[in-house]
Amino acid sequence: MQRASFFSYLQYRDVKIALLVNGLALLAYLLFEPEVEQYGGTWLGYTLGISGFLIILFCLAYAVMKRWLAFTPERRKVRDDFSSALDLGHIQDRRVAPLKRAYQSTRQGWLTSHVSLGGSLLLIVSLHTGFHFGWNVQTLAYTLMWLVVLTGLYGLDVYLRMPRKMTQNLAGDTFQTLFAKYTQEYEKASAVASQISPEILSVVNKARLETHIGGNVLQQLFPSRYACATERVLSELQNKSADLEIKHAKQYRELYTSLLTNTGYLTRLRTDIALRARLALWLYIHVPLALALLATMLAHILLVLFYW
Amino acid sequence: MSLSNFEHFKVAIIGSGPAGLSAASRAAELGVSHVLLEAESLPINTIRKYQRRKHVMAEPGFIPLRSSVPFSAGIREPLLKSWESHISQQNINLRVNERVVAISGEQPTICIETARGSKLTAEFVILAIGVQGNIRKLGVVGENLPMVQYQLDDPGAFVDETIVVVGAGDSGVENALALSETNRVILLNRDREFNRCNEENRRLLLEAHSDFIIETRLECRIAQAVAIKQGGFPLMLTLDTPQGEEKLACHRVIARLGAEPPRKLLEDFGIKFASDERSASPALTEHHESSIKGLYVVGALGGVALIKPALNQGYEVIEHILGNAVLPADALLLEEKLSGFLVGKSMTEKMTHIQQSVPIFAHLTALQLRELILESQLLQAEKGQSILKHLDYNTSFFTVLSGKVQLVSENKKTSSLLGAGDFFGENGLFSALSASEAAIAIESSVILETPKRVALNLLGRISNIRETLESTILARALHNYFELAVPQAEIDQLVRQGKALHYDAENYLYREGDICEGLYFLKNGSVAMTKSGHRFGLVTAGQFLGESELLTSSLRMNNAMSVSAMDVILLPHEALQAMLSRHADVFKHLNFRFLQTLKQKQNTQSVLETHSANGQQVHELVGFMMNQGLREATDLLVMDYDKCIGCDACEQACADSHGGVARLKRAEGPTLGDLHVPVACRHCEHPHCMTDCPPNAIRRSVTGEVFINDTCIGCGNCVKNCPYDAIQMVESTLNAKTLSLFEVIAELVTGSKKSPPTSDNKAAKLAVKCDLCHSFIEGPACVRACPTGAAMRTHPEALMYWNEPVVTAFLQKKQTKV
Repeated sequence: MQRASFFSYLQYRDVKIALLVNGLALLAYLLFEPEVEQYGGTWLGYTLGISGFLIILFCLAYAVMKRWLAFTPERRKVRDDFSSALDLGHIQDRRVAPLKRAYQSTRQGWLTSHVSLGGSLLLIVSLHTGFHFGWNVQTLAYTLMWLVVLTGLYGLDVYLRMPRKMTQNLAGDTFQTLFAKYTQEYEKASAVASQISPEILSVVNKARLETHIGGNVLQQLFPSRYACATERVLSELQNKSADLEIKHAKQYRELYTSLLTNTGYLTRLRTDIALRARLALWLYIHVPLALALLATMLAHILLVLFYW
Repeated sequence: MSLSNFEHFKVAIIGSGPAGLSAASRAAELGVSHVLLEAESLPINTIRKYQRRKHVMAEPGFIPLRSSVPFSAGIREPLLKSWESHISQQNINLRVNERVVAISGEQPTICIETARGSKLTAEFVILAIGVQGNIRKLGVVGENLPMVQYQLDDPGAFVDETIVVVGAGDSGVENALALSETNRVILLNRDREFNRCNEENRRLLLEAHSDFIIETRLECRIAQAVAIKQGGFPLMLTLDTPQGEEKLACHRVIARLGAEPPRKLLEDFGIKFASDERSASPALTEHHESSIKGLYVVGALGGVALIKPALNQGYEVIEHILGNAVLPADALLLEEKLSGFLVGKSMTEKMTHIQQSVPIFAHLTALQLRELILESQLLQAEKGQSILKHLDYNTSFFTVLSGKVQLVSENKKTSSLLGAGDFFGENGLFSALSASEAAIAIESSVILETPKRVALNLLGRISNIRETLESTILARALHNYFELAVPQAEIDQLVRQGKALHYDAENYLYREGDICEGLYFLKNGSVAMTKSGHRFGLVTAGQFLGESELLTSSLRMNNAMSVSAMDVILLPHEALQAMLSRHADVFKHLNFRFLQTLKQKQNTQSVLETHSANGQQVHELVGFMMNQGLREATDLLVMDYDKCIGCDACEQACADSHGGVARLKRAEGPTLGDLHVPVACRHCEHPHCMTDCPPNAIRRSVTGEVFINDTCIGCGNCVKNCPYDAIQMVESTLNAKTLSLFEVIAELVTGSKKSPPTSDNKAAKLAVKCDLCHSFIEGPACVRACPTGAAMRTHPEALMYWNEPVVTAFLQKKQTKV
């Protein structure tokens, strides 16, 4: 079983490439003595800038590739046609040959490359700036780059940590089976409550109706900050136990444990949602920021070309 | 009385079926003096007895028609009409109501007597009386009841009845299909598959079955038929089914169990038979001449029950009698097939050579052998060429015609040398197992590769071959089992002492504490080994069971239970003991090997326990694998739930590559810690789904994937049989329209998917399951689509090391076996 870490893909190919790129960039920066000072306009500056630009394009390509790698018949046909055209020599241009490998690549391969190279942007682009900042489009692009990479690293952290938490939380169940257990428990609670008194039954039914799972973004992310109707009714039942008839004590206990079990289920259900939300939410920040980065970076390049 | 007083002809033809008619027609055409004798009052009874409006087929398609009688596939009535007019046009000398009762003498004067007392002589006699005069009956109580009939004239005569048709040969299937238009029809097949009818009938039957027009019952026969008075049904049947006895009420039984040659009569004529078997045909030369000089046998009586070959035979025999060298119609095809074998020899020599050098073909008539070769493939293997790889899933039966082939077992310990006349690849015929031995040509060899269907058909018809084959399999298994040389004679003796037993599913072969009655050889199916409620092992087809007690002569130490219905051969304990006492070295070797296995088991266990951070984990893991049946798998989809982000890209990818329906359910299925086994096909070693697939649509490819091909009829048996819910029924839709380039780009930019166009008329539901993406070079889509590397395909053995990232190298070695 190859069960080592996410980066172990192809013997840590991408990590090795990223380290090499970073090392070279740093070495060049330390060895190179510019005429005036370190900044984007020297030949090293240009080299680093162009490298950064290419890496950003490569990272953006992940979004395209993950769709291209889809397994729909038509997508597959395009890939197969392309491969066979290369094989048969219909496409003579050898420069496109590497593309063939891209077409046959896996999604995990693209993601590890995306992460490793994306991370190395922090160093390369910083060296490219020569640490000159100001209120200009370059600095905006630089800031956006940091934000994109940091959100990305946060995403990586989430991807590495959340699955385990989800598994532990579900403990062999799925959301659906857990929810089914929850509903069943409430059915049971209602049945028991109806044996006690109509008043108790209405309390239970009300709680059932008012209990929410999920909700808006904040409710999904931080469920414990919001009041839970099932928990509320538990304390209500505890208070009401004062005027309990002795003959109903057993049912009352059953009802109480049912609802107690359900609070456990609720916690797990909500935790599952919270974890899923965390797995998904960062992308809503990472992707728009990446697009903004692309726009400002293009503006930056145009300006540079304009003033050249 | 002098023979010269009798009417004399050059050729007398007995029987006016297709073969006889064709012979008479050719004789008339050539102006040869002839007579055509028919026992009944009208000619061509073969066709006349067909059910009304029956579609008459012109099989096999690859043989050309060579006869003066016009013939092509069509309906019974026009065919009868055309042949009747042919008889009068050709001036065929037909005499009806002449039942032949005695034949004596040989060429040039054969004397024929009929029941009416007419006597005549002929230089040559062509016997074409078919086998319909000697129809096989049910052979059970009630076989002669009026509601049990052995022929069907007019299917339209019965309406709204419940009719049980027995026999899945061509006539049974055709009757069932015709009756099903106005009746409820239940077709009983004693076999597990429909191998006995031709392709066309098989297709029609399976269609009818999937449309719920015909009910079929497999491995089922009638045990008893009783007439009853009360209720709407006049007949009560007791059926013998794999699940036990069953009662079935019906109006009528139509049994089409085939017919046998009227052996007594023929032997009275002096004709010798090919073997002592009930269904054996007369011994014939390749020109259809019997053991009596000048007496020829053609048509169904000669073993060929199809119309076109029968017509050809009639024609060919007349030509042969007249001294015209005529090659059989299939000669060219046969010539081409065998062109690479015994180059320079004549066809006859080649055929004789094959028949004489291959013992299992000894029971075949020349015609059956021709048929077999025509349907087979001739392989020319160079020296060193591998014909069958170990663990390949093959569906052919191989016979070595010349050269030498070596079979090498998995551990390379034993190898057997096959020469001309030996066979291999028989595993695939009886079980869905991969080859246990690799086959390599060690000198340039010629090998006949016969498809499973053809081979099974032959085995079904000729039980001698089946017996020879089965004892050879057992002998070979014993040879491999002993590993050391034991004289062939002793092995053969053991094989003869073996007792064939059948077990239904979930029956005990033996229990803990039972007396050891011997060593079991599993012909098919598999046996679960349990001890105090824990399942600890699985013994599979082709293996021996009960070795431990054999060696120690002790009471049974654990329970053995059949997993599915299965056949075994029990080799008696005493015989084995006697053999082992004669060969002390073999006994010592077996004992040594057994101790070795015990040690290995212990080793694996301790390796696991020392390497694992927690012995308990391993224990749990093993328990989990046992309980979830993971050991049965050959290729398992597992998820590392430490990495799975729940994006379901795997399901999406699966759906995308399989017409919009995912064959795996990621979230469902058992989980142990971070090991999750999604609901998806595990490509079991012994696929449960394969056990009851009427069209035999579930196949195993050479590389091991179990897949459903497009002959699926949607009966849903496999869905019921799969213990892991890995098969689902899906409405088969037309292939999604291919999107234009523009649409693909638009989809890319917007990220939205165009919903696949759905067809208006809903198609039938068909079974679908994971096929390991076997048609795609990239490999399983689910694994390739997983962004974090959580989805993996693996052999269950590798799972034992789930908690062991350190021993990767070791594992990868294990995995390469997959």
